[in-house]
Amino acid sequence: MTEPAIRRLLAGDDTSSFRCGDPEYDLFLQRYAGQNQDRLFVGTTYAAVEGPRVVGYVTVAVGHLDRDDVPSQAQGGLPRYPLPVLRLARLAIDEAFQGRGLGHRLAAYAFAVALQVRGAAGCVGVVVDALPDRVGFYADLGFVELELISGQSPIRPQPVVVFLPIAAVEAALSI
Amino acid sequence: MTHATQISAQVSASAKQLLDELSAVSGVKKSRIVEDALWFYVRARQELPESAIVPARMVLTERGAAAVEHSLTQPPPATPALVSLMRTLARPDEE
Repeated sequence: MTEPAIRRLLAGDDTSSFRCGDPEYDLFLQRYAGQNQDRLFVGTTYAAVEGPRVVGYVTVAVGHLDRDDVPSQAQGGLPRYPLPVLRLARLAIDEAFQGRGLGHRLAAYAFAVALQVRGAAGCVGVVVDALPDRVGFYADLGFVELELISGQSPIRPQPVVVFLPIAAVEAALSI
Repeated sequence: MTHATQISAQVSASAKQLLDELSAVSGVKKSRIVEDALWFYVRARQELPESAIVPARMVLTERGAAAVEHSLTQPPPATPALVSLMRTLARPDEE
């Protein structure tokens, strides 16, 4: 069986039959991912497609980590300006394609996009809004949990914010 | 800008710095950047539900800042799981 191809979401993609088990993720793909990407430019969705049918997706957006509200004695050696990151906000797989490793491929694709962003505009790492039951998966990849004062994802259940420096992604690709 | 009026606002030091830098680099007046950004934000909020908007700015707690600093100054080696994951896919420009 041919693996679904992964590429940027296109206007003509068929998202109507996508069912991942969480209606909010289905609705986001079917109603908002396209305008989010093509009209408002606030995020990009990469789709796993079989023919015209979307069977999985990952949505990323640029963001930045800030420490303005951290007491100065606790700011350590980080630069004082905001740190650019790529934020992996949503990842979902159609129920018929779950358990085939497609989620891993989409995550890897997003991490590779982060490497491209680093070269094009700057990016110190990847931030993932991880669903609570996926935190262990990201911990195995080397992600560490981040505590935020603000900027949490509006997605429910409240995701756990985790971070991986871009150097780790680069190192993984060089092995 | 017709019927221009004046506003003032308390913003973070980093937001002020970003505005200063963007204005200096682009040559666009700060007032124009603020107005464009505001309209852009309001339009996005009108067209997308809150759950579809991912905040761009994440403010770290003290512990969060320490975790990021540690990760950046002493990057962990790639874990076997990460190496395995990245082998599932070619780079985007190679697909």
